[in-house]
Amino acid sequence: MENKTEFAEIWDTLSRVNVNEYTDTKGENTQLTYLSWASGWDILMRYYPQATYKYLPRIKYPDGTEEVICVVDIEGNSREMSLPVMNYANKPIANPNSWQVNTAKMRCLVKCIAMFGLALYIYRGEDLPDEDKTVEVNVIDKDLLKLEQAKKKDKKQVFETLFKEDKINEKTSPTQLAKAIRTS
Amino acid sequence: MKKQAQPNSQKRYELHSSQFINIAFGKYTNRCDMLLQTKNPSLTPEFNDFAKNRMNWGSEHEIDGVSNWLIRCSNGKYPKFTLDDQKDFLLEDFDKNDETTVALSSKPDGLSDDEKTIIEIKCPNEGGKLKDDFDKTRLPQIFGQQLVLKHNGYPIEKTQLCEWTPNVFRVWEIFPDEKFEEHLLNLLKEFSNCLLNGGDIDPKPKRYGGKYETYEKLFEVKIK
Repeated sequence: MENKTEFAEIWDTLSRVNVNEYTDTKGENTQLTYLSWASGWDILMRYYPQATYKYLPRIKYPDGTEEVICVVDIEGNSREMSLPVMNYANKPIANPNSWQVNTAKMRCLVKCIAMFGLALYIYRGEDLPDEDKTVEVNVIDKDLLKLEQAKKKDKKQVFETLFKEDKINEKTSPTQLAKAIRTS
Repeated sequence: MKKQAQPNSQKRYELHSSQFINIAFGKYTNRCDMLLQTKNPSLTPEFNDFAKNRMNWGSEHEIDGVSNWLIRCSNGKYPKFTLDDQKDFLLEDFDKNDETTVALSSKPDGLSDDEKTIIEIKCPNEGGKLKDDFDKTRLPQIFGQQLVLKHNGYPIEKTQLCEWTPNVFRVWEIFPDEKFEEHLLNLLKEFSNCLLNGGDIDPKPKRYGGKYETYEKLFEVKIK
């Protein structure tokens, strides 16, 4: 029973996160949006730094193609996900090399994290998170949280201090900054 | 355009810079109709759904334009009069007679901390593709804002016009242009004179004959 509640909490938290700032696209004819493994893991660590992952033995098919299997554990809550080893056109590869397997493993990790809710909307082909059609953004940068939590009259000073300390710079997410300066 | 009662019962018309494109140039609504609508606001047609959607999109995402400006243009200084602290600036008695006065007004999206730069945010086309070139239809509003704020004592040196879509943030700098300002003022005077005294007005004056050379693209970045 305890785990069910925790799954729900994790889902509730991660499925609301807008990751649009971190996505990229690939493909020439059909543009596919994806979240890099580094960004996916980075975001996950901000919410659940104790999370771990591992891979189960690969499944090998008679035609030489393979499937990788990833297991992600978030505070005792585990989910499993598989992914074929594919080429850039998303077609399974026979007898993949180590680089192709490694790429599939990292993509599988992101997909497995999505099973907890993070960026799942991308896999559905939607532009925004499920409950987030009005672009509700969670401020996850701790410095921007200070700005978000500042009273309206103090926002100017907090912004200018953070900027001076280089905690707001060109790497700052404009979407999160917008959320932080919103006063109502 | 708001029409407000004055204590001395003098009529007052307020011409807003966002409408200068029509008031001066009759671009989307000709100046004859603008005169009628200014005198009788109930004649102003309601916005259609298409226009409403665009306006709602712009209002909703103005904050995204401001946040991008803060990161890339502010030099760490939070602007004055932005977002829910915007200020309506007035140029009273732009034209008047014994019974009626005409004011110009402008409410920019922001004013830089040093009071030298007007910030104007545009979130065009409901997030669609931006025009490749500078949209010159914005100039009457921009130069109108500069006029009104300079009249209020602000040492305006330029406007930073920020165009935001979910994919692109682009900033143009528009510097005061005396010849265009004079041209705009003449057309506004012509309009206000008709408001005060009646008479005919050219519904759609010819395009400004001079060159607009006082703007340049500052930068354009892709938003990831």
